[in-house]
Amino acid sequence: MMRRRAMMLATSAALLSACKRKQRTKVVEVWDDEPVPQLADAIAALAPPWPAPTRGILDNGLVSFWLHEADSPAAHVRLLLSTRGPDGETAEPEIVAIVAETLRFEWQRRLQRHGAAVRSSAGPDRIEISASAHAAALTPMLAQLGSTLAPRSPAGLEGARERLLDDARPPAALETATSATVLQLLGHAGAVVPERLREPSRAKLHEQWQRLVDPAGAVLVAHAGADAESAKPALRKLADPWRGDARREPNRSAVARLQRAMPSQSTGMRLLSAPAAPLHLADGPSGTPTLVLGRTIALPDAKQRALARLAQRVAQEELDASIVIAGECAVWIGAAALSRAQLERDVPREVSQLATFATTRQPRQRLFQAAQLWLGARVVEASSSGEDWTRLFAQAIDLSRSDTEIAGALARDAAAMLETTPEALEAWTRRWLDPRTGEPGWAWSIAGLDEDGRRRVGRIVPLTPA
Amino acid sequence: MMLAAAWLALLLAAPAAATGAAPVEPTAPASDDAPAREPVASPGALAVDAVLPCGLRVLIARDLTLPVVASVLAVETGTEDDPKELPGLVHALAFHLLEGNREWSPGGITRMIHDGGGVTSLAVGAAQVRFEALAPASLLEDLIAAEASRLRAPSVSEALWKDALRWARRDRSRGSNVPPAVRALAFDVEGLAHDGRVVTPELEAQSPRAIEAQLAERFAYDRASLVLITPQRPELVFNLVLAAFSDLPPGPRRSRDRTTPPRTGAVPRELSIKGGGGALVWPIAPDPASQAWASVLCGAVNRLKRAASEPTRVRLRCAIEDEPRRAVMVLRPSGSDDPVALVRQRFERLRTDELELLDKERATVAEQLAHELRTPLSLARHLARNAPVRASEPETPGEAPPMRALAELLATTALQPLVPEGGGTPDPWPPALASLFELGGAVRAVEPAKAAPK
Repeated sequence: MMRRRAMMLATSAALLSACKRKQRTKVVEVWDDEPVPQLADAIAALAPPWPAPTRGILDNGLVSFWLHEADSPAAHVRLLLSTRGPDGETAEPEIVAIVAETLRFEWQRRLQRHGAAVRSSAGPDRIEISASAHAAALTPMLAQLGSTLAPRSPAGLEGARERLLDDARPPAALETATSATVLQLLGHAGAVVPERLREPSRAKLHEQWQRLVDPAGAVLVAHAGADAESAKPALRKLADPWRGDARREPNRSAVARLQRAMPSQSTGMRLLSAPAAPLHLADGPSGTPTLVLGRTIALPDAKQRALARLAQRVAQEELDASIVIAGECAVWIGAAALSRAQLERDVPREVSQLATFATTRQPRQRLFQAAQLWLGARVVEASSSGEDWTRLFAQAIDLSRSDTEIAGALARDAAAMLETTPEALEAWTRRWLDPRTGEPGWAWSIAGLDEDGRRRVGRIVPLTPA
Repeated sequence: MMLAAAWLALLLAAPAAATGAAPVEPTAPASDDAPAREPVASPGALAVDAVLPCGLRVLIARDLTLPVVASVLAVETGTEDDPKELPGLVHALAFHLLEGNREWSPGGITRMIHDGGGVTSLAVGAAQVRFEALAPASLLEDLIAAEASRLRAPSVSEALWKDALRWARRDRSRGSNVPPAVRALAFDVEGLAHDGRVVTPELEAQSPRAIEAQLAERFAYDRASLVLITPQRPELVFNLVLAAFSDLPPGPRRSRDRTTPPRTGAVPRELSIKGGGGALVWPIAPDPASQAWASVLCGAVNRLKRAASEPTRVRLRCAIEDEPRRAVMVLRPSGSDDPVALVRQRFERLRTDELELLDKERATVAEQLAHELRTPLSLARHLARNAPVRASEPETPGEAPPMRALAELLATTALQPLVPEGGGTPDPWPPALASLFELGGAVRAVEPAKAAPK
C-alpha cells in the first residue's frame, strides 16, 4: 500500500488526492441569507485546541515543533523533508520516491516490536513520513528515526528501488494529463515514471540521499503526552547520530525550509482566447480521453488563501476541481473525462463550464455550506486517523508565511473562509478562474487520445509542437 | 447486565478512593431492570450515565483533543432476535431506519452529517444494532436532535422497504470463520444459528403495516443507549439530550439480559459440523473484563512456545472474533493426536510455569486498550458495546483530560496484575479469566466423519 502510494507521488496524486469529489452533490435548497451567528461561531472554532508549540533547533540543524497534550496515551512523530536542495534545485521524482520508500521501510522495520505504524507520502516538493504508537514508544521512535537517517550510504536504497519497481503500474490517463499540465505550470513534472526508476546510479542515489535527508533542510513535528523539556534526552538520541552537511548554513525558519517550488512567473496564457495556451497531447495510456486544465495562483494573504480554498470547495460541487496551496502560491487543477466521439464538443465545453462557474455569483448559504463541509471534514479526518495533531500542523505550515503564524493558521483559515462574501468570491473567481477573460496563467493537457482523436482535437485548438 | 453494572460501579469507585478525590454524589443504578427515574448529572462530572424517563440510557464523556463529537445510538436488538419464519428481519429493519421519518427525508440524517464534514456508519450484529457518527463539534445539537428522532415514526412504504432491502442485500461485508451453529451452541442461543443477513421472499412480501409494527416493537428508545463523546462538559450536553427526549412518554427500560451462564468442566461439548475444523470455541461474556482477559489469554497462547515434550508438528493458534455481546475466542489446534489434551496442557503451563508470560501479555493488552480508546469514536463504540460507566469522578483543574482518564480506567481496571506483590500465584484468579480456562465452557467443532468408501 505504502509502496503504491510512493509510486503515485507525483504532482498528479498530490494535487488530486486532497479533495476530489466525483459525484455531484445535490443541493436541495440554497438560500442567500446570512448564516446563523452561533452556528458560524461554532464552525469557526473547528481548529485543533493545541497549546503554543515549543519550537527548537537541534544541534544538527533540525527545526522541531513540540505539541504537548498532557497525558496523551499516544505519541506521533512526523518528519518533513524538502526535496529542494540549498541551490533551489528539486530532486528527480524517482529519486524522491526511492528515498521516501527507504525511510518508510527502515523506520518501520526498526519499530516492529513497538507496534508503531509508519506512513509516508512524497510529492514533488516534500517527503512526509510519520509514525504513531503508544506513549511509551516515543523514545524508541525518535531514536530509531535517528538511526534510520544516520547512514551516509544506506544499504536499503536498492531494496526500495526494487520494491517500487515490483509495485509499478502504468499511470492512468488522469495522472498522465495532470503530470503534463503541472510540468507546463511549474517546470518540473513530479510524476514517477516507472521506467526511469532504474536510471539513477548507486552513487547518485547515495549522493541524493545525503542531500535530501540533511537535517538542515528538515522539520520535525511531535505530538505527545511528554513535554518538550522531558523529551530532550529522546531528541538527543535523534540528533546525535543524524548529522548533515556541516558546510550548509541552515535556514532557521521551518516555513522557508518547506516552501514549495512555485514559479515566480505564470505561463501568461489563457484558454481559447488570446494569448491562447496550446493544448498539450500527452503520450500515455489509451482509454477514456481525459482533459486536465490548470493554473498557478498568487495568494499574498490569508484572505486570498481562504477565497481560493472556498472557490475550490464550491466548484467541486459541479466540476472535478482540486487545489494545492503552499504559502503564497497555489496550483488549481480541473479534470474532465471526454467522450471520444464528441471531442470537438467536449473540449470547448469544459472551458465554458469553468468560465460560467467563474462568472456566477454563488449564494451566501452555498458558501457557508462549502466552508462547513471543508472545516468539519478536516477535524473529523484528523480524529478518525488517530488524533494526530502533527498531520494538521503540517497543513498549517502550508498556510503560513512565517513560523510564528503556524499555530494559529488553521483558526485564521476557518475565520477567513466564513467571512467570505458572495461578491468577494465572485470577484476572485472572475479574476483567477475564468480561463478566457481572467488573469493569464493557464495550461492544459489531454491524455488517452488515439491518432484520430489527436487529429480532430488539432483542428479546433492549437497544439504544442511535437 | 447486573453483574456488569456492579463491576462498573467498582471501577469508578477505585480511582476516586486512590486519588483522594471527593466522593461523588451517587446516582441511582442505571441497571436495565431499574425503574425509569429523573436522571442526575453532577457538575464537573467525568462522565454522565443516566436512564432518561423514556427508558433511554445516556452515556456522555468528554474529549478535548479535537473539536469533534462521536455519537453512537445502540439498540439492544439483533439478528438473533429474528422470528424463525423471518430470518434477516432485524438486519433489514436497521437499514429501513435510514429511510427517514416524519422529520427527515430518506437518507436525511446521513446527508446532514456528511454535509457538515462528518462520517456515519451502521453496524448490525447478533445482539446489537448501532448507528454511529463522527462529526464536527459544531453539529452536536443537530446530531442529538437527529438521534432523538431516528426511531420515532419512521416513514414506511413499499418503495422505501424495497430500497432498504436493496441496501440490506449489498451488506455482505462481514464474515465469520465460526459456523453459526457452533456460536449458537456456545451461547446456548438458538437465534444465533441462522444467517441474519439474508433477504428472503418472505421479507420482501412484508406489508407496510407489518414493518411499522416490527419497527415499533424492536427499535424503541427504551431498549437503546445513546453514547456521546464531545469536547463540551458532560452535564451541559446531558441537558441538551434531556430536552431533546423530553416529549417521549415515560416508561421502564426494556433491555434484555443476554448473559449466558458460564459453564464449567474439563471436557468441551462437541458438535459435528462441516467447516468445524476441530476448533474450540469459547463464548466471551459481554463485559469489558471478560473481553480484555480473552485478549490476554489469546495473546499468551499465541506467544507460548512448544514444550520440549510436544511433537514438533504441533501448533495452537488463537483468535478473537469480536461482536457486541456475542464475541468468541477460537483456538485451532493442529498436528496433535489429542487436541483437547494439547489445549489443556498449554493452559496449565500458562497458569503455572508461564504465569509471567500471561502477566506480561496483560500489561501489553492494557496498554493497547488505553491507546485504542483514546479516540472518541472508539471510546463511544466501546461504551456502547459494554456495560457502561455509571458514576462520575470530579474534574479538577490541572487533571488529565477526562476522556483520557476514562479510557485508562477502562483498560487498567479491567486488567489488574495477576502476580501478587511478593510473587506467587493469583488468589483468587480473576473470574473472567478463570471461566476462559474452563474447557467445559468451550464447544469443539469437529468435521463430520466421512462415510466409509463403498
